[in-house]
Amino acid sequence: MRMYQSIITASLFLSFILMGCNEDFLKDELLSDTSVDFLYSSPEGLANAVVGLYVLQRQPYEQSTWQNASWNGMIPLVLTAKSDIAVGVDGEISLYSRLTWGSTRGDFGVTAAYDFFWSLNYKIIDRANAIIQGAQNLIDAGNSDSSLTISLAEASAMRAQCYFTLYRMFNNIYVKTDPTTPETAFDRPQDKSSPEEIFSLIRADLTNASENLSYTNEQFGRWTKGAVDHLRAKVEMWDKNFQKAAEIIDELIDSGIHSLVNLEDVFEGDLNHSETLLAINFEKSAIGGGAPHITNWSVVSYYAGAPGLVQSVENGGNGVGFITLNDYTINLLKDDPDDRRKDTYYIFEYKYNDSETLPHDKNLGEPLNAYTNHPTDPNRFFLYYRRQNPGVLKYFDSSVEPTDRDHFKNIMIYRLAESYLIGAEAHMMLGNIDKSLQYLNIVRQRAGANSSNFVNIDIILQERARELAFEGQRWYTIKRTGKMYEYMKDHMNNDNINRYYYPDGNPKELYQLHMQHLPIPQGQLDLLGDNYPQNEGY
Amino acid sequence: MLKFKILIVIFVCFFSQHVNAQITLRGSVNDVDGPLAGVNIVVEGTTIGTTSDFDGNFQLDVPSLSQTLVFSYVGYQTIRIEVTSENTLTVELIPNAQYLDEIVVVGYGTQLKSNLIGSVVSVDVEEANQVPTTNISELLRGRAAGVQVNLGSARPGGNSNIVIRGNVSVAGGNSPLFIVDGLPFDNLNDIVSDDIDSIEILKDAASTAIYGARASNGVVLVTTKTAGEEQKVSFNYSTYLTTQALSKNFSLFTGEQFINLRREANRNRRTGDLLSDRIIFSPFERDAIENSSFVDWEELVLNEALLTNHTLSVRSGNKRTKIYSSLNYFGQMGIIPNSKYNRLSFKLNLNQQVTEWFNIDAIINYQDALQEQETGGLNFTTISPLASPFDASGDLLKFYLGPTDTNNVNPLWDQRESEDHAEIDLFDVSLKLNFKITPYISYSLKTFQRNRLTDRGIYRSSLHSAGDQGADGIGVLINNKYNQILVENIIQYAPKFNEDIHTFDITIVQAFDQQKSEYSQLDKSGFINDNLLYNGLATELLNSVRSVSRRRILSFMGRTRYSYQNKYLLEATLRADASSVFAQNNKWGYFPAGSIAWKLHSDFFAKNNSVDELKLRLSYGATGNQGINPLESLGVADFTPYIFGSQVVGGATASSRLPNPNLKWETTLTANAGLDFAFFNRAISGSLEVYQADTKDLLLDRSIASSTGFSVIRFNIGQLQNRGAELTLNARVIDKNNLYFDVGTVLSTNKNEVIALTGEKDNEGNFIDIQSVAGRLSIGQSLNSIWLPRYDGIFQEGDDVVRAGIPRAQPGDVRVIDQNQDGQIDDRDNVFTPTDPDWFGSLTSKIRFKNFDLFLDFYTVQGATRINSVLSNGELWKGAINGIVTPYYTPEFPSTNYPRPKSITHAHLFSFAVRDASYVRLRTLSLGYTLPMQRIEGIGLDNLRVYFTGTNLWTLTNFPSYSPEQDLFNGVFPETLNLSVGLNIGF
Repeated sequence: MRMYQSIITASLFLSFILMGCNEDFLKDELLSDTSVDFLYSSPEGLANAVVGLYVLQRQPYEQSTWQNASWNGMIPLVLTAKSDIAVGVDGEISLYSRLTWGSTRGDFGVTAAYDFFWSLNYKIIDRANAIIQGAQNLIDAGNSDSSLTISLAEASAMRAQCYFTLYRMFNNIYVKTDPTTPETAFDRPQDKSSPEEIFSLIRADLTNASENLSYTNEQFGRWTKGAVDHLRAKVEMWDKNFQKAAEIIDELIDSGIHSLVNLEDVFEGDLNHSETLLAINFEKSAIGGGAPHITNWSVVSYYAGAPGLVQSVENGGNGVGFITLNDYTINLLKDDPDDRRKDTYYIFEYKYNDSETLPHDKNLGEPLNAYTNHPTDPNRFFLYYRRQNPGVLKYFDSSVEPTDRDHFKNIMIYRLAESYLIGAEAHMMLGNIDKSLQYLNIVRQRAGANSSNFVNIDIILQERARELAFEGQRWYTIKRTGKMYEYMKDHMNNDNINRYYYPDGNPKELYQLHMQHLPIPQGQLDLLGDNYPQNEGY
Repeated sequence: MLKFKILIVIFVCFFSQHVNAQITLRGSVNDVDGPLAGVNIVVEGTTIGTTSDFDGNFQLDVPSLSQTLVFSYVGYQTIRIEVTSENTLTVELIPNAQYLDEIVVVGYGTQLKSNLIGSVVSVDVEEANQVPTTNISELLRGRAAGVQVNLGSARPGGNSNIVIRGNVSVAGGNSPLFIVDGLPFDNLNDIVSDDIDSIEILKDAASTAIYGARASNGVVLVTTKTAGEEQKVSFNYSTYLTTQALSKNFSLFTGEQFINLRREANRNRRTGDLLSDRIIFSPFERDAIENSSFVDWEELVLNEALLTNHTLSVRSGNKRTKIYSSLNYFGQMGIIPNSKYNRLSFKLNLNQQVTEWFNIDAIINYQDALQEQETGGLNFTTISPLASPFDASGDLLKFYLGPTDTNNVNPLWDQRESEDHAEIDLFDVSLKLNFKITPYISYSLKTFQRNRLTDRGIYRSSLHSAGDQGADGIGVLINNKYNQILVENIIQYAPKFNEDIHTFDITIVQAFDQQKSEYSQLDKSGFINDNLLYNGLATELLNSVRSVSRRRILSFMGRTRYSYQNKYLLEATLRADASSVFAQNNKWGYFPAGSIAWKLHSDFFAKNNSVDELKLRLSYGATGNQGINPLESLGVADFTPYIFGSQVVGGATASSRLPNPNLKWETTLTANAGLDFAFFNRAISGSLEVYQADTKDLLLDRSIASSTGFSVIRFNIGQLQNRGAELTLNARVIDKNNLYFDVGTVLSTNKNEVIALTGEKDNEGNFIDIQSVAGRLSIGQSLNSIWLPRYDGIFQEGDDVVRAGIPRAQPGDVRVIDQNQDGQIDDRDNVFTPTDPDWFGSLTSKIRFKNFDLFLDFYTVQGATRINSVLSNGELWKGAINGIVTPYYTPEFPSTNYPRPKSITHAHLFSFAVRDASYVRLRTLSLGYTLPMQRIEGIGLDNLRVYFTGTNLWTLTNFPSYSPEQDLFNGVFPETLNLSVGLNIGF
């Protein structure tokens, strides 16, 4: 009897111990995860959180992002497809060129890509808000760690960039500067913010970033003063503040830190050179190196489908030719026979290189010339587009196997050549024609083209097309300059494919003025409140 | 219950006497335990009758002697006695063994089946065990009313999902709690089916509330075999061999059909001209067309595969020691190459009586399993038939669409160049110490520890499409350690006083349960060669993951059961659970339940011979769902390092899930009414149940506007209701020595409805819907719904496309209904279609003729809806991938049911692909022969049975797929048709 009494006593005792310490015992603990509290409450945490912003900024390019994985890497090219310099041939990305996707409120392209743009930019904004708030709290509390101002500045630059992107895409956006909490998660803004409010926040952020960042950073890929000022100039151009834009560009160019490099070197290697202002970084097989991108595959033609050619480094590696340069851009590049950009940034000739399948009337090393861009017959022009149409080499990673689709090349976001062209435009608007021509011709001369002695907005836009095609800026530029509707109606895609191939109708006829703003995805709109305005026309 | 098995003697004492008109007979009725009250006594062929009183005595006036008295009482065999004298009769009734003997396992105890108050179904293990699989959930399909089994993965070693009485939770999971021999199991498949003695399913709150915060999805109780007290050493060997073959009800496009499909897709919509083959086919494909060299990938990839099972078990028992032990080997090859599952299991159940007042129950389970899986991308249903998987000498080609199409790697090549092995070691030890403190009070200390180690290695060689891009092979090493510890203190008090009138017991439990998982993963590349697979050393570390999670539950539980006169039964339970996953301020949840039962037959049909049982049961109670993952109430950051130049810098980003610091359990309040019945000596028996379960504080993953920077947050908000009815009916049609025939059916229906959500209203005053991760939720709709525009046929020539709201539609496009008639199709035209079946059930029959036995099991699901993801795939209608052959629309032969192939993705294909997935299936047909005793006794055998079983032999459905339980998505592992032969030997 005594024995089991003691057992009972012991087990009851055990129960009470368990009960007594249940505060700790039942605590939910982070056993292998990092706490969000750590991120925003110490200088080290904030520095980590800033790095997280760069990872988010890389997502649109990575093939692992599910929108890219599902739809053949379309995300980084969507705005290009919607601009006036490209022709969408095949694949999901071409549906944006055809206005099959992304041109009405409810279509699938809106859900697929625009929702991603909307969500990602707001996500970066929220994380930046938390960093800015956390850093500010620490500074206010007397923490003098010098990394705090840097974290604050980088987060500010990111936030400004995202608001600027959102505003340019969706127009009806709203501004929030506090990080989301469970209490505020379901707040509905009900209305858009005014452009004044948006621009004032962007300017404040960029001022802060410009003041606290230096022109150089040993960690290539971080925001620097040069990148921030370049962005600021773009913001001022958008707001028609040409004076301010010109001043900023003059200062950036005169600083002497950044300078144009040889044409061949602009997209060479890891882009770590004096012309680069901001680039997204990739590294194969490295932790933190990101998932590969397949942008090159989309923008280089499927020349290997033609007899006599196999994938090679000289021909631009593995391409499928979903979207390439349209005739408007091709002709601009051909304007000046000395313009070397067509053979550096772009590839106009794919060379026969496979003796096994070489057609009898061709020689190795000759440019591919098997297809015709026929004006009406889709049976002829389609293969031309897929296999022979000039392509773009700005995303080409020459270090991987030429048959590989996965590339790890760093991606150019901002570079000094664009700064020159912004400067040229700003000075032109201000009437400083000499200065404008000087900037314009520096870019032209670098490419081996003749100097221009005349400048107007069309010339600026043409030069931008030659220099910057497929770098992701074109859609914004023609929207900013008010030329979008005119240019799209004039030369979007190419006419043979517009008229004789796209099954949903000629996109030139379908194009409408309101399409200069992207529709806010309906699913997002529903969550913003009943009165939140959709862009007009949708 | 041996005492029930004692042969009963009927004592009839008589002395002859002369009798006149009215004679009064007196007597008493007993069973082995003493007097029986309420026994029905009638004079055969008359309406004269009475019942026995509390002391079992009766008195009856009969017109004359030489009458036959019929004594009947539920649960007892009816007996007839001819009365020839006026002397006092003493009648002893024999229990109806096959019924009363049944003891049913309930939570923390057992109960006589006749005394069950809650909704508890016992599964016929013999019927269930006819399916050759390790997937225990599949054994339950169609075996119990209200239990729905949905096929999860049909791969060897795969799992199915059990849903009891509908989904009560959106985000918290709907899998029931599995209790095996009183121990909580995280995976039902860790049991060897041959070891199972009984399976009980607890459905209502009265039965499940004893498991508190884990019980709202119902509880499955499994008991494994043990030995009896006087069990001679006996062995049993059983084995079967199964062949698995593909069964399907659709065809894939052949080469010629596929060519026509693509040509049609690329036809100019305006002119009707075909696009040249030069454009739509690659040179390689044109060669294939010219040479008619087409591939049937399904035939090439899938192979018939074998499955074997061997179990050797031993039982032995005496007064002190009882042992059951078994050794099982299960080996299954999959019909997809590189897929297989092998498992070796050992089990020991031991009971040792140490002293009069102390005994020990020990359980040891050990398993060693190996699961192999194919590498991904084996999409044999969608690969183009215009392909060359082999070169001229029969070797595999890497690029099956020609050497320049380097993006399409031959799936068989990848199978050859990959390995994916998972070795799973499971070790369970349970020790239960039982002390009899007084004759009425007992105390048990139950301890349990489980360790499961999973060691998985994946290797993709330098030639594999994933490992070849300069990576020199890719290896992934995964280790997962799962550990569970359970400690329970159980006190039981069962006083004995005036037992005929009152029986009463109390159970008190204190429990602690911890589950911990430690996961590590390393991704490597740069192997020197492929010889050592993932075990080789590599130059580059691509990724490393470490994830540790833990959940703890602390519980107190009390239950009392009371019965009055064995007619009125009462039960009450209260459980308190505290779980670590609940938020800081919401740690403790309380779950009460109560139930009553009334044996109506004792009061109303005591005189009616044909009614054996009629019992009404009512219960009401609360149960919980703790389906919160650890850390969901805390803020967690994702690891996001970045490379700046060549410098890698650590980084972190708050995850997309916003934490909720107030999370708690869901509570489900269930009301249940049941009627158990048995007539005509239990020739017909069954039960009817109705229930309503309301789940409140619903754990909802609400989508947040992504402009907050987050995508989802979990909340306790909203309410869900499940209502349903269940019928179980068994009829013993013939029960003779040489011929036996019975029929049983189980029917269930459940309606699921969202009752309340956030309570927010839109401008028009309607409650707003919620976009949850599981889908769209709307008040009045089922939780499991498809939300899409309603399919309305195919546009024909001359249809008014503008009015239809799809102004750009062309003939042959999918038509959907513009519900709000605003001239465009968008979200506002979506309608809800519930996907859950209207009802489901099974019909089984057992026939025994001499030594032959036949078992038939039909299973049906009616009114279920599913999206067929082959039909919804735009690439199919482009002629870009293969898929189900349909009589598609062409201008020459306009179809009203299938769209026209088209070079860009059709709109509204998902609406089009919403299909009825109802079916009727002959799930099992089993024919067996038992050798006559006289034949086998001579060679020292106790029994020998051989049998043949066919599984999934016949299916009637309109849903094109390998199985109507499976959608035909890319990479699906087809459910198979199985033919088995088996042997059972006892010696």
